[in-house]
Amino acid sequence: MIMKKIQSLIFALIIALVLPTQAVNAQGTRDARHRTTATIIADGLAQLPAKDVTVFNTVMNEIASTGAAGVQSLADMLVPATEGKNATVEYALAGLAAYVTDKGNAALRKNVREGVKASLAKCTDKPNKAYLISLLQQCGTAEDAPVLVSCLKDDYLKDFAMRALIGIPGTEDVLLGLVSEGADKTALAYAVEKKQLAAAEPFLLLWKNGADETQQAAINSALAAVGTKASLPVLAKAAKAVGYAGEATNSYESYMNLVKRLAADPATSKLAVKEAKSLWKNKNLAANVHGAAFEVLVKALGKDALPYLYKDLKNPDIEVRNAALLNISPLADDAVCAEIAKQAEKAGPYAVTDVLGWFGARKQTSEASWVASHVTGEQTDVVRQAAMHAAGIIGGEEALNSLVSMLGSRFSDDAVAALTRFNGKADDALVAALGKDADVQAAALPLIGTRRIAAAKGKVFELLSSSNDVVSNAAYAALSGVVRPDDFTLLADLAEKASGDKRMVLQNAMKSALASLPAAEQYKGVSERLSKATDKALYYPLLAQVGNADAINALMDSYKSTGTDAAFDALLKVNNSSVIDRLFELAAERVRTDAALNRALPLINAANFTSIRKFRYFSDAIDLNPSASIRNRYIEALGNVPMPSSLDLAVKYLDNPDSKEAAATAVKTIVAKSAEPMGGDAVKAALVKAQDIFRSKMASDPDAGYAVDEIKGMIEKLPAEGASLISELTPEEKKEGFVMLFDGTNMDNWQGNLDNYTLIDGAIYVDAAYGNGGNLYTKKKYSDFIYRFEFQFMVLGVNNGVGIRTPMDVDAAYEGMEIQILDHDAPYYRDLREYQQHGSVYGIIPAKRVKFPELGTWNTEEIRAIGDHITVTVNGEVILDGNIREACKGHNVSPDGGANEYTVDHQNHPGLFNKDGYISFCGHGTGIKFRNIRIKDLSKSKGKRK
Amino acid sequence: MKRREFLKTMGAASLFTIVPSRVLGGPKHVAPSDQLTKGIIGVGGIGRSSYHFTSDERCRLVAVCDVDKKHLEQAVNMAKERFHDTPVSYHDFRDLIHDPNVDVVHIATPPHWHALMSVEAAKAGKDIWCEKPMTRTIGEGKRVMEAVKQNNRIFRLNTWFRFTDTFYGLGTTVEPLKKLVDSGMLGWPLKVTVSGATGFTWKFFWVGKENLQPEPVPAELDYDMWLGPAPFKPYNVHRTHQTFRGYWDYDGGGLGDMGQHYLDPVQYILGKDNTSPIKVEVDAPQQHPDAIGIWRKITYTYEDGCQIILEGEGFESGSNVPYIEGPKGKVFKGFQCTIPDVMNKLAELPDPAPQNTDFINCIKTRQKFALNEVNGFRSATIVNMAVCALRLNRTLRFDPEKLQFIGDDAANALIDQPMRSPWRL
Repeated sequence: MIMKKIQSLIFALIIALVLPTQAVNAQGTRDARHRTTATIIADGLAQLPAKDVTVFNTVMNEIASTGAAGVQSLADMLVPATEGKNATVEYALAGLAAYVTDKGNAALRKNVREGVKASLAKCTDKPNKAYLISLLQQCGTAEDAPVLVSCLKDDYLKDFAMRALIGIPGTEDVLLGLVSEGADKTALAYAVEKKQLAAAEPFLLLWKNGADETQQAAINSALAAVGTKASLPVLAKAAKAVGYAGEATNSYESYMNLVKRLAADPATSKLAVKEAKSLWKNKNLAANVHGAAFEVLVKALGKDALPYLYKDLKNPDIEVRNAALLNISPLADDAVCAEIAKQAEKAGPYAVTDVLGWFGARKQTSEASWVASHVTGEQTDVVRQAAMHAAGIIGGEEALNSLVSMLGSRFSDDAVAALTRFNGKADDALVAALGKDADVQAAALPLIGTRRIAAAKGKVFELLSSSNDVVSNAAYAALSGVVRPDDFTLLADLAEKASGDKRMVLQNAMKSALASLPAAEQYKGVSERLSKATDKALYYPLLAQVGNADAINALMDSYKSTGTDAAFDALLKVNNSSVIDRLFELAAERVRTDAALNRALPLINAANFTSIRKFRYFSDAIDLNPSASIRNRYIEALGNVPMPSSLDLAVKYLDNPDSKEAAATAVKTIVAKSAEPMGGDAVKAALVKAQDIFRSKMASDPDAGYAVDEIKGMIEKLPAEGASLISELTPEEKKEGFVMLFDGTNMDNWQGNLDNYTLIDGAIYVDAAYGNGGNLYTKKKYSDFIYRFEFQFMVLGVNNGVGIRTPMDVDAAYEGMEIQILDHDAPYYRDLREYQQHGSVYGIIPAKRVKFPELGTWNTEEIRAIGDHITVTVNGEVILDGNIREACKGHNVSPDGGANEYTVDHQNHPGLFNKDGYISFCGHGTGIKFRNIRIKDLSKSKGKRK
Repeated sequence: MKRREFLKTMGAASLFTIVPSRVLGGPKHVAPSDQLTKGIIGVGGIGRSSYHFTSDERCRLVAVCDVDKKHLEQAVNMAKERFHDTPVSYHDFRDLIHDPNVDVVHIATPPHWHALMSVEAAKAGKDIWCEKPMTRTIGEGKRVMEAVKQNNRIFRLNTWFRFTDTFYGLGTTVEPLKKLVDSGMLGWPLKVTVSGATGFTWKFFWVGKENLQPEPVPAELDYDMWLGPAPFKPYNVHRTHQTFRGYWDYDGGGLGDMGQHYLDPVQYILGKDNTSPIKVEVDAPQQHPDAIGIWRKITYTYEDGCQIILEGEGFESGSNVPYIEGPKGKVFKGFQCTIPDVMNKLAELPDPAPQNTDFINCIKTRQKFALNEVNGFRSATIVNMAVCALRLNRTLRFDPEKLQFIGDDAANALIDQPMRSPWRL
């Protein structure tokens, strides 16, 4: 749809272009391809918006190269915005303006500037004129200033023109000229500020008399930016008049900025510092003004400004104190910090609190001991807390010891908070704390646990039997953090005797002890204990942590034999995709369907499965009829596997009152994300329905409004038809006598393992596990034929094969012939033999190695089997063309029936010379799709061909 | 003594109210002088949402401001209903800022106003809560930084994932990631992928419309004041409320909307709060000069080789792409990590340094908020760099000290855009 719209627009543009560009054509401007300017521009416009940088650069270069006249003809195409069709021209013009500002394209800049200016002169529509001016702002030069100056007279355009004059480099003189005329004072003062036009100062000072508030603000700001000391008394007076407050004339800020600027210039520094000092001394000023004055003093005086800081520390206003500290920060070396600490002590606890906070924020290690000294001893609570916070951030031995000394005190919680994030190792001090009294032990143990201080292990085990319950419980809780694999046996001994909370705590400790071991070793340790234990459930959570196949089996067996929640719950904790099938088994038993499916969903989403496999889990889960909330989660998950089947399933729930919102979300996501574009009436209808659902939610959920807009955009862009899932013979194939074996709609021509070879979204999807479930066979037998199909690898290293002339339910590679299908690029096939490569007659004739495109791409293949002559063509390239009888010198089986020296795999292939048989797919695993399978049966015409 | 001065002078004493009541031993009581006041500018979408439209004992809502009469009326009614309180209503944000009863100015307007209002508030000695994105250009951000410093204000840039909440679809908070990166276990330099595949959607429905046709301005809206410093363009409803994000003059599309949410934590994790990337590369279809479109991929590179990759429309990696990848390890969505037993290894290390995340407390103690005008400026700059590269459709190099692009005048012109008269920064 969109494409069509653009095409018709382009067509209209070409028509419009022919007349004004005849002059250009007459001059004979043609490019290397003999295109006229009109054609070049039309070709360019047809490619806009450029899909990528390469197209962008090519198109812009071509259009800019048509010269000023070409650019003008393009700009002349702008029509009034009410017609709503400027977009493509705007893409072109904006693209040109950007393109020629790139250094490498400077040579073309003049063409664009001149073309835009010429069009500007002709254009009568104000918004379009404004747009052309904005292009000059981007790519113009000082040469364009006169045109812009002429636009200043127009009320609509003047703002655009002034901004362009400001934006373009080198317009200073022109702007000064305008200042001397003094037409639009507000705008010109702004230009003076932005362009730093120092020569304008006398005019600005003059303008101040009689200026309104808006003009004052602009003038004051400009004076702050360019003024000399001549402006200082003027702004000082104005600032004083408004009480140094922020207000409409911007007097205070301008004054402060001027002082700041003059202070930075050695010639005027003294004067400015005097102003700043008097401001600083003025007790009636707001804290932000006082602070700004101090900032000037610090910049101008450096460390000589320190006495002002010391005074500020005594100020009762917290804002003043902290502003002073922040301003001094760049100068605060260790010596300065030491002095500040001293001065803060003199000033009192409020200043000390602020300085502690300031030291913390800057991690002032040189003051660690001063900070630590405020953690302990006689302090106000506020000071102590600030000191503890700072001590944690700064770190160091003294800070650590001071914090540890507060464990168990009234400030224990603050100490624990600071120690949890303590900057550095805290192990020794915390271990030592375990030797103190009970209150300290109880506070230190959680830290030992969370920071996993293994050195405390002995002491923690010892404290398990503390007579103080609080300590003993804390020691149990800390076990998890300190134990290691060799503690497992001891923990298990304890756990088997424990009950209640202690049993659970010890269970966790056992998990933690084993956690660093590989799963198999963990399993070994756990299963040894489990086999002897009477309380087997004690070990279920450990099996869940192990999570390998053995552990899952053990849990499943336990659940089947005991039926306990404990085993079930443990299965829910396993974090391994191999438990998914077990969870579905459990869900099907309908004991705790919701719980099992709820757990399975995140595992499926995270697993490295093909989208089809995931879809099947989602679909199976919904079939298991869980509660609406679980069902809805699965419906929404369909959005993660955006394909036609997912859409079909989601659509079914659009009318379900409990699930329609989930279904609407899924529909929106599936259509938006589908790799092959979806389209057509059914998809549109689904989107419209989904949109209605979101619309009805808008009142209560603001995000629903976004979804409505998003779907609106999707519907506008939706193709009339989506990618077709049905394959058809080409006219040539029809003529030649091919027939369809699989067209994407049914499995009628196939037999065998229809469970693992299933029709999904127009393809046969294979999820046969190796050696399981058997192969898929044609219903008919064939001898000579041309067999064509498409295949797609979905996961790395997929292995399958086309069996030909094979009986059913045998190994086609030996009892018939197998044309190998293998994603041989997978790294683990490094040592693959040539005769195992894709396309080989397995074990008989090696094929040339194919380089496959990315996973998820369709490949085409043709297998031609005529008598002993086999030809295999993949993606248009013949990779095998040979004679099976010649390849093994007639010895498909060795003369003595032992190892066969005549075949490349040294195996016997008794079925190699079968006259006929089925054609099969021989699955070795999941993750491959086939589609568009057709055959030309040559059996009957065989005689003729020879 | 005026209420506000009283509060400030007693600032130090008010510290006592932040210590737990067990320390004071008294009943929980807040004296009127301890209660701050705030005014919200922009009460359309965000300004009226539940997290922002608050009034409580720590900070009372006393004023609201909007250039849309309907929004203003709705906000006042909402305050009456919820807080049994009637805030003063203003049309001009300067009146709210200069209202002596307002301590904190909360800016919830579209981004093209953020810098002007922040600077105005700073000059007036007010503390500031500004919604993300901090500013819509790098130059405006720099100006906010200067004004906040000069006037010693407390500034909160509002996105919060660097200190709280599960980080969108990543399935973890940021703190363990910070800890993991700081531990050095992943090695250095790192590559961070912010993508649908790692849990972040770029909201491409925030695109603008080309070919907007002029429409009459609704009676309730002061369109001139809505535009403010932005270039004049004829009114169309799609430019304003709810959908303004799709236009370069006011914001930066889905990138502008979500960018600072997604990238500020990345900047924190990588320890880049005081610097910026030196290069930004974009892969995108050409952008319209007015209406923002989609993009496929944006790549940032820091001087030390760290990279941030943004994956956009049609360019998402598979679900197996790591969120952070280093030479020694990777971490995926849900904190799945290639380093064995990582959680236990991390537990042995101290948690990252504490962050000041209580805004009211920061105001009272004059400590910088965790996400402030300095690091907030840096994360806004990550977003705004890409905006410039997208608009010019080319790779840009950046000087993180001078805060300018290198060798590209047109890109630098986008850093510092002149404002519509009489607005000025």
